[in-house]
Amino acid sequence: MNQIAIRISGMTKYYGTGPDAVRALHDVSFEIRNNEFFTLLGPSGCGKTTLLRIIGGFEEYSEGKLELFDEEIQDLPPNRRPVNTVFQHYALFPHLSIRDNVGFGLKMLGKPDSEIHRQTNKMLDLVRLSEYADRRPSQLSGGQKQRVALARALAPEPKVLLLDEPLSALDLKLRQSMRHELKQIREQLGITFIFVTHDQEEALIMSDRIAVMSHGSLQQVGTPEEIYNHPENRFVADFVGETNLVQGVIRELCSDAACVEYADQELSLAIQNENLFATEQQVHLSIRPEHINIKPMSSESSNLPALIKEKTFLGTDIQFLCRLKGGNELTTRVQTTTTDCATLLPGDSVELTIDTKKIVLLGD
Amino acid sequence: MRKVQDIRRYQGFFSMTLLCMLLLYGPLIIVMIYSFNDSPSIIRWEGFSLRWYYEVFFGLEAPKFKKAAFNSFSIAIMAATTATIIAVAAAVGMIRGGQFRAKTASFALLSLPLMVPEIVTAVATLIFFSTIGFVAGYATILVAHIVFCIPFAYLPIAARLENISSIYEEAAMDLYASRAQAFFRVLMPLMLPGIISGFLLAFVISLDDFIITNFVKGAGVETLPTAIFGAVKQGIKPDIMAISSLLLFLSIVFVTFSWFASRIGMKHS
Repeated sequence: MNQIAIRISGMTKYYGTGPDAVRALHDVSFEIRNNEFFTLLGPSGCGKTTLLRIIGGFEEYSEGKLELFDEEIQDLPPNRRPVNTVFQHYALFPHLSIRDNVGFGLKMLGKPDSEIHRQTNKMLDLVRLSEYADRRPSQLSGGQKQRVALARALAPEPKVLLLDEPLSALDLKLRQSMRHELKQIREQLGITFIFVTHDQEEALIMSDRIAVMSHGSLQQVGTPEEIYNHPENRFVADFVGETNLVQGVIRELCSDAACVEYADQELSLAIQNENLFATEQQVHLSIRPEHINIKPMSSESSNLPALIKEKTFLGTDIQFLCRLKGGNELTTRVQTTTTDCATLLPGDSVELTIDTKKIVLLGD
Repeated sequence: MRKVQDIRRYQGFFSMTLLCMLLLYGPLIIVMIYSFNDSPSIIRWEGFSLRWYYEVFFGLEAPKFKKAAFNSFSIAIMAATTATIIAVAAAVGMIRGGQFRAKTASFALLSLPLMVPEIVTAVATLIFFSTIGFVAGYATILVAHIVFCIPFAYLPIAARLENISSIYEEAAMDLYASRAQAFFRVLMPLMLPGIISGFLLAFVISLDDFIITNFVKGAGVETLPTAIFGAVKQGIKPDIMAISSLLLFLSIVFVTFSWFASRIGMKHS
């Protein structure tokens, strides 16, 4: 069941040579399991697309190893790899009909016409575009082109499907429905999807597992829950979801907890590995806005006193930017329906309660 | 209300335009009109007639002109075809080849025939042919035409290819097409308007070349332009005007096709 579809080990890639060489990938290693929806997530220029193009066979790499189902494929040209790509701007062949676009891969594989016809119809059904079979790509809308690109890449039944920011050119509504559709199609066909995106929300919604990348290096690999709830470093905490990254100092340390001083408060935080930390060490705390509660100031409280600086209405949520005594600022978010905070205004005195169990302590 | 920066607001725009049009097209129009003149004189109008066109096809000198026309067209077709094939290869190499050493030099070499004065090329080609002992005649004209047609075929083809993203070839290869299949099934069809445009342009350029042809043609072999020049030397007769008008018409047709071909599919890609 848990067969490895793609294994990447020690992958390093330089663009150019000599002193001008730019490092696009640095010692990247991870495994992608069979039948997994795996996402490469990172800001532009982090090397995620380069990595995808390496798997597709469009780029060479400087060092490392690339295996597809335990077979090294680095010397195979793109047309010999059982891997297909959905390109960012679709790259549908403008001179061919939708049917011929979808059937292109099968034709190149030398399949008989009857099989091409059957498989093409099946794929067009899958993406619900059967009635558009005889049109040209230029006659379709963006969302339809996107689905044709998907059908075309799926028709030859690849072992792994690569998707290079396929939703980035679509508007929000279409993007949301395509997310759903992609996920369904993957479950229906049961093949491995490798999805590249810079949209952390998209990554969290769709993926079985996510690899977060930055500056050509792998930052963390894990399920969406792991990535969101237990980020391993500041970059991941900051890039995935919204968070308050604040500085504190470790005052006491024991095997499974640390006492951290932040904003004149001593917070007792659970830690996974005490060896990562030392007493009197400067550390960062990642506090998600939804883990900070806000309420009007009352006299007998021991909570964090603060002043509201900004209030932002987000629909289901209200977001407050609060200033603490020492000058620190924290963003907090509360649901509009479950709170009496709707009446709070900038300038009001409030008190904040931080759910310390949800705070993540970051060493670097 | 015209915009302030509209060029038509400049003083003297209209008279300048008129002067340019007159200088450029006046002689052509006069030749066309007088080709229908029912008179052996080339300056006195004596009424409309098609006798000079009849003369071209069935008159005393008709066999000579027919032979020249056959040479011209057969050379133009072969030269344009060969030049187009070379130009396609050159365009793919220049534009898809990435950065390679001597890329600028290669481009200069390709477009050299456009910049070198034609008479220089003509003399050089003649010297070259006689040095290697090539007998002047039909073959020498063909070779020379292939060479100077290449840049004319290259320009529209290269312009087209530059606008075709390499993502299409990548997509084709991703879908199991070999390099050759990716070229013939995807890149070629996308380049086709440029290829047609380049072919037609090369064809017209070959058809009406005079200077180089006159140097390398050798005795007894004539193309239409050299035949016309030969005939004019014995005095201008109205049948020359008829031939010229036919050639002009043909050139316009080809250039028009070439222009339309280069625009096919532009709005889609």
